[in-house]
Amino acid sequence: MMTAELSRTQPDEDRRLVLRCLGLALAGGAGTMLLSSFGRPALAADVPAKPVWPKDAFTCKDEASALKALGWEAPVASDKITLVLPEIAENGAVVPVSITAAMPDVRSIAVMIPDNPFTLTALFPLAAGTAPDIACRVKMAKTAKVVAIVAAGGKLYSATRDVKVTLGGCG
Amino acid sequence: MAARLAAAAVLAASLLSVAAAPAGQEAGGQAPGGQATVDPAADAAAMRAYFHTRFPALSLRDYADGPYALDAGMRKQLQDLMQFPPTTFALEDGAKRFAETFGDGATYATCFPGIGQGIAQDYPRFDAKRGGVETLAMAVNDCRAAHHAAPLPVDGEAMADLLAQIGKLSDGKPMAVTVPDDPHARAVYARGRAVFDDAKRGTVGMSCADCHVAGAGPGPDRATRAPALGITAGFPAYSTGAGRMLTAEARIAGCDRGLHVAPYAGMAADHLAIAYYLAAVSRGVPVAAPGVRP
Amino acid sequence: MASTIRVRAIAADGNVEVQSLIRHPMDSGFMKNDKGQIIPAHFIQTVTFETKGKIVFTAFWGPAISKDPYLKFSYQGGAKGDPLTISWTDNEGMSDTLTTKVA
Repeated sequence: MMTAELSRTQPDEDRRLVLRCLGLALAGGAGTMLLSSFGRPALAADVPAKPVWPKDAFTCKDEASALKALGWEAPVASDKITLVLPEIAENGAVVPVSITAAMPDVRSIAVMIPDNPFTLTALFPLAAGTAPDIACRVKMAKTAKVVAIVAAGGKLYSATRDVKVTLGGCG
Repeated sequence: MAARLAAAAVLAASLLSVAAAPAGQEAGGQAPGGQATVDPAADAAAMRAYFHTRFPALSLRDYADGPYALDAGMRKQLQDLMQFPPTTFALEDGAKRFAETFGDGATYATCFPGIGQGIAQDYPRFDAKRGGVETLAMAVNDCRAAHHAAPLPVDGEAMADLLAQIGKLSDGKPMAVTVPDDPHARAVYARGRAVFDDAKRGTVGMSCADCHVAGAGPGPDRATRAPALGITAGFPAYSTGAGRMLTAEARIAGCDRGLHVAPYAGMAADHLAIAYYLAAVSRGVPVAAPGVRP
Repeated sequence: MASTIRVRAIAADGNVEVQSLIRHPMDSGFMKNDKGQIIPAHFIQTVTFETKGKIVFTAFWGPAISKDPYLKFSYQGGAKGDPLTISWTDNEGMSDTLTTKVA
């Protein structure tokens, strides 16, 4: 099993990251350097050889600042995204989610849960030839919306589903 | 229970033939003190008939999936989870543990008939020598003791992994827990049934049956309650909420916490009695352990 | 020590479907242990899938991915017998790598 004895992230570090996210959101557009990684690259070569976890985006606490941290504009709702989630999740600890995007030139898929402590849940930059069709399992703190955001052809699209989370004492 | 289900049983008796134990094989009649009539075969038939009437589309195997059996949305969640089952690591560890050789060269296969293949359907069982209910976990620890290995904590991960593997080795075997003709066994069964049916359990003041018989299915809080029938056939189960494997007894204790039952002497014995009762009335439901639960 | 990575990669008509399960607690940093103490955040941040020198899939994760995380995706241009290397790193700098063959 995972070793538990290694050093943990310092709380100060966490606080600093959160502040950085907020500052970044207020500054507006400061995240443009990430644009080439997750937004609108025209070339497959833009997929980084050694992907770097986008720390700024993952510490944001709302959708607007998470989008800004990724260098993304507000997405437009699209029915070309199939976002599959249970209507009622029996337990928020494991909620199966799958996302399929039917538009051409999909470069990235993101999962955001704005009511969770941190909004950005997962980000999948896609290499050329990788299908815009992925599945994972997420945690949800409470009944909330889940947003799938797709960067494709230089534009941003989204689909949203409401998931009711029950944590019944008697399963 | 028997009385409440009687109407449904009569209704369904003409619709399906319900397996009943041959006369003389299983206990029937009065429990010690004459408090409760004990007829497990009849209880099992009534239970099966009741749920067959409520959920005619379900097969007996479906009941081992607990709440996931009851509607399309739940079924889809289970199917998604089973694409790469969350029990994967527990089963791998369980298989390794099951292959363990003790200091004296013996293995678990030495202790269990059929090298441990096809035994889970017989547990929990009444053990006259023990003078009470024996769970598979107790049998595992007896085996360890016989071969000079230290016991495993019955609620620990190592034990749950082992039980998962033993359950897997019994996959598809119909549950076959019967109540022997022994006053003590009948008393434990009757106790399990009485506690399960106790209408004023905990400060919540509900019975187990309120949720898992009459209330089986989606509840007012949107949580889906597993039907009592076959409820133990999927245990041990990986609880997605707990993030680990749980035994049936541990899960029953969780229900008691939900009902705010104040801890009392004999509470653990009561959980065991409930597990014994549920297993006995679930006879015929195929073992599908390890299962998954919310 | 046994690998933390389980993977199934199956080729059909030039398309490879990949499913993986990684053994990891994915502690969110918001849950408490039995003693009421916060369990510090401990989660995988990056997973990569690489074949023949090319990264075909990257997952960046936050702490709200479920314990023992599951992934499913597919890529084109793969064939049976291709090597597929899965690597992860977490917020504590721990990591694991496994190379398998596409079936």
